[in-house]
Amino acid sequence: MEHATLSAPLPISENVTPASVEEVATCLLGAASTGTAVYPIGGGTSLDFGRLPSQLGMALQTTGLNRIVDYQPRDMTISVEAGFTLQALQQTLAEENQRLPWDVPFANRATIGGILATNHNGPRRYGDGTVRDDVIGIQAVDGQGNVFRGGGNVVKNVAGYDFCKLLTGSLGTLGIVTRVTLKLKPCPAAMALWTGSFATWDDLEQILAALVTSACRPSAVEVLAGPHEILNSAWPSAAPDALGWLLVALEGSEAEVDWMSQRLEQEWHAQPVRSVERIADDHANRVWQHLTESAAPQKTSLSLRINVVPSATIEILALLREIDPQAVLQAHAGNGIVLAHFSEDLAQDLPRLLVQRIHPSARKHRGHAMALSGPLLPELTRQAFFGPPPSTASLMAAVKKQFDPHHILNPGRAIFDLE
Amino acid sequence: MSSAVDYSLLEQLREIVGHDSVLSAHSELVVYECDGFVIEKNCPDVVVFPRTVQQVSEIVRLCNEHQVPFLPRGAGTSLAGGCLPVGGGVMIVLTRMREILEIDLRNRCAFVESGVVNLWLTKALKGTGFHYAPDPSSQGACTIGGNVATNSGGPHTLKYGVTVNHVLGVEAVLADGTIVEVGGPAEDPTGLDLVGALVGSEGTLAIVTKAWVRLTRDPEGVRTMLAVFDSADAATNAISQIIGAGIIPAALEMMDQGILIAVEQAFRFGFPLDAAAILLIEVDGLEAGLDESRDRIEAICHENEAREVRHAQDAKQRALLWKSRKQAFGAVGRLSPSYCTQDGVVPRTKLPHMLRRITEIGQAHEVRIVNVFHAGDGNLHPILLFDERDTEQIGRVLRASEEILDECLACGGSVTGEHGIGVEKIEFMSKMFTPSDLEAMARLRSAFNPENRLSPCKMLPTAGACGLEQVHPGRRAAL
Ligand SMILES: Cc1cc2nc3c(=O)[nH]c(=O)nc-3n(C[C@H](O)[C@H](O)[C@H](O)COP(=O)(O)OP(=O)(O)OC[C@H]3O[C@@H](n4cnc5c(N)ncnc54)[C@H](O)[C@@H]3O)c2cc1C
Repeated sequence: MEHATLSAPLPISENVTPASVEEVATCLLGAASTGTAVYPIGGGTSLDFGRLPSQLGMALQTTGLNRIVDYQPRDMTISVEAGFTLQALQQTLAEENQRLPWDVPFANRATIGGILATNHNGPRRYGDGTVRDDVIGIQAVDGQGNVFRGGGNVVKNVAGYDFCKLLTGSLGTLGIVTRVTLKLKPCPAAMALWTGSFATWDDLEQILAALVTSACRPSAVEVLAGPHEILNSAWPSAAPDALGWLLVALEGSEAEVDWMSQRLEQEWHAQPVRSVERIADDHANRVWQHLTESAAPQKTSLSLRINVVPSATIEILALLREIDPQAVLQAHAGNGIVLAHFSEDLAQDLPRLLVQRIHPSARKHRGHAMALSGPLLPELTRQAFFGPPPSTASLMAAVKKQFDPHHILNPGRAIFDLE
Repeated sequence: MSSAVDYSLLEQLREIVGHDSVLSAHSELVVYECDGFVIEKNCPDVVVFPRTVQQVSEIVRLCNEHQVPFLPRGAGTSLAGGCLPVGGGVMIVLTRMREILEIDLRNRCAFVESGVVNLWLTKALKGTGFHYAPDPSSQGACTIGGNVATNSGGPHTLKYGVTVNHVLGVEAVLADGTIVEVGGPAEDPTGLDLVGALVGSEGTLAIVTKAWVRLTRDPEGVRTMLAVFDSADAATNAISQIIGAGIIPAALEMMDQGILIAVEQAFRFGFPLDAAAILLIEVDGLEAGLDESRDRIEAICHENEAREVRHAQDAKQRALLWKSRKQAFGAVGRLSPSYCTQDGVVPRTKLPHMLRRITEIGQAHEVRIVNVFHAGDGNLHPILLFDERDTEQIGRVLRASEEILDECLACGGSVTGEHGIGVEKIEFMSKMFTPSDLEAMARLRSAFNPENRLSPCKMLPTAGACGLEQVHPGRRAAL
């Protein structure tokens, strides 16, 4: 087993890099017997996701698990070890004109296991669903060193409990994912990225509501507001009175994308969208990259994710803007997910604002808010971090106890982790 | 009546739901002795019909107090025996919780009680431009709660996904009677994906009382075609080639000669009786792309020596083609007095091999087998024909079924794509999963259902040792 060095915001005393599921099991069995905390680490891109743990422990790097186990292009499925990076996987798939419709920052480092554990979903979730929809089989090692699997290799399967779903988003607290089998999609032949600005939040809601019944079937409906770097530099056209920008991605065959482009332009003509423009293809890549990477931590006091019913997206955007006029805001607006990066001068006040305004507002709109990253994280109380616990918190804790009775997997990081 | 279900429990149940919502006479209970899986039967001791989540919760608490097993039931169309009340006890039937509470098109979701029939939701949405995508062939009868519990699929799940891809959240009663909201109308709730764990748990983790389901836009257009093949191999090769070409049809269904003949005798659609197989293929989406997809599919069918490809010219012809598919099961009655529908999955590219093996297995056991299935997902439904009155035949049918499912596993597939494990396939779980996998599943169940009083002896082979003294195996032992 190779021992690597790693700097991370986690309290780490030793590093291991197992190269097989058996080695992962051995590590966890050992850790369980000594009660050592284990922090699974993939590409190290989201280590500050979840609450910061205090217990000193072992970093278990999954990057040694980096093989493609089985790729069947004609069945459109692939089995891959958890430490494989998304970028490498996409390159392999592209050779067969296939893909995973996943948009993840630092794809060259982000591992499949890490993406699953954090349930990271980007703009294309609107048209293509989320990570969990693509996982058809999973293998993991629980907190006692038991290897277990769920699902299988086929796209339709209801045998047994669905560990593929349960482990997605579990933040490595139930088991360390070692291998996954994924359902693939064909690459679309064409894509168009359209943009337009809006002047008021009410205008934005009018446009978003219309997109729900648009003749087009967008694969992404995004909103940018606040001082995004990309808006200063190479933005297609200036609109001084813009409150923010909409971005709509259209994907499909050439004929479909052309038709949808025409229709969208017509529809937007009748709505309060300004500066409507199809972003030129060479530039579209850069903009798309921004939409993907903007989810990553920036120079900020705190990053936050808020999920509400889609129609309440503007309420959340307006509130955040009011709290911090300098906040960098992005919304997967079709899905009601808002990402906020607050400016540094707000640090003092944020913990209070979270508890008094942001969590209650998210709750009012049937959702939640959760802190993501930033220097302020360690100062947040559990309640400021996650908001009030859901009615299922003790059920989640009961599940956790069954899979990790010694409480060694990522202790202290998750909402249901009652310590 | 098992000893634990005494008069006082009955009286208390009546207090909760009212006299008209409790059945306890044997003549009434026999209706509930099985679901669509008729090989094993056992009467519940009591059947109750709650109307509210509070009533469900009180019933569950009462069952716990009296230490009797209980289980949920929807319409009872399950084909795997999920509704078999092993050990008797209290059956909680949710068909009186039948309100569509909210349809919110702006947020693309609906909030429904679990007894709402799948088709009612479809009808309520008609004309709105949206629909609820999972469309099991039983949609005229089965409930949304049952769909959630079994993670139902249907012909259109090839493109649109199965139930779990369309459930945002549920209200549920846990095994101890606690009422919880799991997930909800907003996406990505924090914490563990318990919605994902509940969907497909076959009523063993919680009783679902309401669900938030995702609504899907109606496609702008659709092209439906029927391709006729002289060999089953050619048809199955065409299937994986279509999907391999990057086209995801909305549906891709196959019928073999045996079922064609039955369908033709019953409905006279004008199918060629000497054809070895037909594929019913539907593409949907934007008009702008449909003709291109249709033409590519037609070309692939011809490359694979399709004898002819017919196109539905209008909505009426399309409806007729779908009728032939949806009523295929009904037509099987013409072929034989009894039949058993199997449910297995293989990777699509293994379909040619698998269909050949099914024929061989049928021949070896002298069982006639016909096929009508969700070919695009590799989800087979071989139908084994027999006469229930002949026990020797039943034995051969069971052995042939087992061999077919073993072959699915040997191909890297699954023993169930949509009907579930229930009691029917418990023995296969240890072929498909390791002891360690099954232990993990048992641990998940323990977290939700620690006393194992909620639908005991289902899904997991270890459930046999579920510690309930009053459990008796019904007619399981006879098989
Ligand atoms: C002719 C025919 C065609 C079919 N076609 C398909 C098909 O195309 N695709 C498919 O997937 N299935 C199909 N099925 C199987 C069946 O219809 C589905 O599994 C359906 O989802 C069951 O719904 P139900 O309301 O009848 O549930 P039931 O049969 O009443 O229950 C099924 C299981 O779910 C549990 N359950 C029921 N309600 C709840 C609840 N509210 N909370 C928790 N658990 C609950 C029960 O305990 C049981 O284990 C078909 C069945 C028939 C008879």
